[in-house]
Formats: sequence, C-alpha cells, structure tokens
Amino acid sequence: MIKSTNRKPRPMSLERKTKWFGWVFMAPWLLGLIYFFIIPFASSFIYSINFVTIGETGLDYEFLGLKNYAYMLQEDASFVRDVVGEVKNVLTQVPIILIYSIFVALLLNQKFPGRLFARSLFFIPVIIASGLVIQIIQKDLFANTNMRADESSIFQIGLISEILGNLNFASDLINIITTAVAQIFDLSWKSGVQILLFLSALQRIPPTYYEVASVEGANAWDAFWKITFPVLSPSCLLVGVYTIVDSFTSQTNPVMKNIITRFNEVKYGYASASAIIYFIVIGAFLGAVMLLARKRVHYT
Amino acid sequence: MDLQKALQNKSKLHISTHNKQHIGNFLFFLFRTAFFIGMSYVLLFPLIVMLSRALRPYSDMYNPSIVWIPSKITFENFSYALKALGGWSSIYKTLRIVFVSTLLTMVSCSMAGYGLARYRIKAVPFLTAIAVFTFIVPIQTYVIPIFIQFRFFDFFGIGSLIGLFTGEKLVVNLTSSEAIYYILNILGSGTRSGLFILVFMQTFKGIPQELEDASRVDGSGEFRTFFQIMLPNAVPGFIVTFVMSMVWQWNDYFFPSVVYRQDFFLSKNMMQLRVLATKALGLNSYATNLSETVVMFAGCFIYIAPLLLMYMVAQRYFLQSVERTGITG
Repeated sequence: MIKSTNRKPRPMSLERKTKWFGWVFMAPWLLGLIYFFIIPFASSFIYSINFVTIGETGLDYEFLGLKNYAYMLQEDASFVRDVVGEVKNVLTQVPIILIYSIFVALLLNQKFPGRLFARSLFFIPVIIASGLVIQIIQKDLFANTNMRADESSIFQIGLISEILGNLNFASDLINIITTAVAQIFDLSWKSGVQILLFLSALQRIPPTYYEVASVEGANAWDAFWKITFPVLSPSCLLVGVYTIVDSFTSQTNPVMKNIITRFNEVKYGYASASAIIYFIVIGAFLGAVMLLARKRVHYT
Repeated sequence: MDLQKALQNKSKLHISTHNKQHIGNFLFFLFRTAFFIGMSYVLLFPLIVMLSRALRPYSDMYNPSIVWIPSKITFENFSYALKALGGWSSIYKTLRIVFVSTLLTMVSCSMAGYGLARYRIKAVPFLTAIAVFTFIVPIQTYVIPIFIQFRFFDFFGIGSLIGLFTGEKLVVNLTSSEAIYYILNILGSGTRSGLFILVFMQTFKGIPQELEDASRVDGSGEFRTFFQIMLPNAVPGFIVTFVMSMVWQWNDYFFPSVVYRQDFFLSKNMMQLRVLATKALGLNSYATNLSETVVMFAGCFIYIAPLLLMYMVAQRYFLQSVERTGITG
C-alpha cells in the first residue's frame, strides 16, 4: 500500500540536471545540521568524559574517563531519582493525554452550532502552550492567596468525594475519580497541540467511509473501531512520540532544571554527561514505544 | 455523485426509522453541550482570573467578599509589572528577535522541505530520518557545545583557517548578540526546526506534479518554479510554521537562560517574576505577598498579550491551514 505513490518516470537528463538544485535548496539546513547538531552532539560526548574549563581561545580539557558518569549514577542522589520519577510521570500522563485528545478531537470534528468557537477555545492552550504562565498561576499564585482558589476548589473536589462517599463508593475508587477530575485542568492545558493533530487527521477521513458503514448497518461504536481508529493509528504514534518528547523535555521538570543549574555552575562535563544519559533514557523509551506500536499501526 | 446521494438518502431513512437513535442523538447532544460549556470554563478560567486580579488594587485580595469583580479598576499593577519585566524596550527587543527568527525559520525550513519533497535524491529518506531525529533529541543534550561555539565563533571554520596563515585564530564572542538567533534560524536549526521541515515537506508533497511539469515546459528554471509555482501553493505550511514558531520561541526560556543570557528576554524574566515584582515595588523580601501577587497576574497578562493578539488575527487561517498541511499524514 505504502509503495504506490504517484511518481511518474521523467527523462533522465533533466532529472540529473535538476538534482543538484535539490542540494542547493537544502544547503542552509545541511550547514546548520552539521554545525549546530552533529558537531555539538559529538562534542557533548567529548565534554562528558573530560573536566572542562573555559580558556582564552577555547576550552581546556582534562581527561576524566567515565568518572562523570560514575559520580552521577552512584553518588549524586538526585539524578537517578529524578529520571525515574520523570519516566513514571510520562508513563502515566501520555496515555491519558492521548485518550483525552482523541476524545475532544472527535467531538470537535462533528458539525454543531458553535463549533468554530469551541475549536478556537481548545487551541488557546496551543498559544499559551509554554506552561510558564500556567505554572505561575497554579503553583506560585494560588499558594500565596488567601482565596483558596486552587484547583481542588475550582472543581469542588471536596464536594465530589463527599457525594461519592454518601453513595457508598469504595474509598480507592473515590481517590481515582477525584484525582482524574483534579487533573482535567492540567490535561486540557497539556493537550492543545495533540487535539490539533488528531483533528487534522480526522478531517482527512473521507465521509463516504462512514456512509458505507452506516448502509452496512454499523453503529457509531463499530464505525469508530473499524474506521476511525485504524485511520488514526499512524497519528496516534506521531502524537504519542510528540507528547513523550514534549513531556520529557518540558522545561519545568527536575532533570532539566538540574542540567541548567549544573551549566550555570560551569560544570560543563558533568552537565553533558547527565544530558547524554537522560537522552539515552528517552531514546530507549521511544524505541520501546515504537516497537510496541509497529504491529498495531495501519498505514493507508 | 448519484450513488453518493442515494447512499445519503438511504442512511437518512435508516436513522429516521429508528426512534431509539433519535433519543441517543439527543442525549449525545446534551452531553456534548455540557462538556463544551464545562471545558470553556476550564480553559477560560486562567485568563479571567488573570485579568480580574490584574485589574484590582491589592487590598481587594484581603477582602473575601470580592471574588471576580474588583472594588475599583486600577492599571497600577500593569505599570509595576511592566517595570518588573524590563519595560517596553524588553518587550520590543524580545518580539523583534522572535519575529525575525520566525521569518528566517520560514525561509530555511521551506527550502529544506522543498528539497526533501520534490527532488529524487537518494539520500532523502536518510535526511528525513535525520530531520525527525533533530526533533526527538532534546536541545539540552547538545546546548553546551552550541554555547561554546558561539562563545568562540569562528565563522564555520573560516576563522580557524585564517589562523593557520596569520598564527592567530579569528574568533568572536557572540553570546550577547542577537545574531545567535538569526544564524541558528537561517540555517534551519532554531527551536523545533526539524518539525517545521517535516511540515513543509508534507505541504510540498501535496502539490500536484503536473503543476511543476507545466512550469518546466514553459521554460522556468528551478528557482522560478519554487517562488512562483510552489510558494503560493504552500501558504498553509507557512501559516502553521509562523504561528507555532512564534509561540515556541516566545515561550522558550531554556535557550535564553543558557546561551543567550540577556536580562531583557521576557520568558526568562517570567521565570523569576516574583523576585522582579518585589524589586519593582521597592519592597524587601519580607513584605506582604499580596501586593506582588496582583503585579504578577498583570505580568502574566502582559506576557501572553502579544500571543493572544496574534492568535485572534491568525486563528481562522491557522485552523484551516493545519487541516490542509496534513502534518499527521
């Protein structure tokens, strides 16, 4: 299926002539790629096995071997703990974000009055996406006001758990429900881009698919699992990868903050070592996700 | 077309014969309406809180009877917040850097995306994989060498080459110059450029081959084809890149706090807003929290105002463009 692109054979001579123009168009990017990606990536590794200090015209190195790594993994108490915490965080957050954004994208994809307004509303998080402002609002400000306007009181968490308690729900179940409700705020602010990507994928499913399904007697539930979900599955992988990368590299997570601190203390070698280990963790995580997803993704 | 119409009619018939489905649809309508009303509260809440508190005198914060509507409207907080963030000049400078960088990113990424999409070069799959890779690898992994490269910038080896002849390397310290941003972006290495290259690649791939062939037959060269045929058809890609690049660069504070360490950069000042607000108010750190808090809300509002404005203007085109670029394909 994937191979059947609509390329047509063209005369060889013209193609050979135009081929190097392709390189001309890519030249700026390739130069940037070499100078600001490949070389820095390689030198980051060199820094990590050295003690690096700034000299007059460049850097002075003092070879350390793997001491930076050994120190980080064995003696630095915070690094391993932070990385493990971050992995756990991503494992719990990403599936919820994916499910939530598919759900919202499906709703937004329908035709109903006020749809345009609803759409522009759900993309406000894309614009204020940084989380910088949201972080200030959530953590710093509500903690310092006497108005108790924190998340739990926006959503009346106390009231919800009281009602559920009166209905004789198990206390574990109440906990799960209340944390989910308390996270809606977080969730809706983290899944702006994801909703956008899913919506754009949904827009490209031909409506005839659904018409045929309905003629064949499929209900909405069947249509979702037999049509929408398979068509969305490549996007799921893409959005999943995006979300994983995004939450691992979010500027507010403790590992990232640690790297910035090390850098400002001019411990370049150590900062590089921790960045590299962190990247290996992210890479392994992504690799595992892709392996798991490979068999379940349908390309059309 | 007739067949399609027939199918539509048939499906309508199908629905109307089932009352059950009517009730289901109605319930679903109720649920959807409730969901969207609830979510608009969640999504607009921070904006409303921000505005409501930024406009009130701080004494209102002590008064538990005042929740949304301030006792009187004051713009004092905004002037303090502006002072804390570094004044108009820092907004202007940050905006200039972000805007010019975005334009340069659009230039370099559209060219790279075009090269990847429309030329049958053997290395294209490999280069595409690398573009994906640059997006996946966090900048934190290699930001330190980038800082060092700009601290001792040798013009891509030319400085060192001169050093071979004259005995002294030509290096410049660029770490306090805006040029860092412009160099990175014109070379397609700005914030999340890998993603924008992929967006452009998808956009250019969607343009029919016939258009290109026709332009070639009419005798236009490669660059003319690019500028006159391809670019007008790639407007959605440009809009998506413009909006997202503006947003991401405006909000990025990792790069300005590690490489471009200038005091005026807004996102960096936002990080230490409380300290700066205290300073702007002329208080010591033991002073009351609440007077800073209202100033911080005003600061948040000032910070997101340019993005909100841009979104209001670009919103319609942006949403259409996202659908048409086919990023997810």
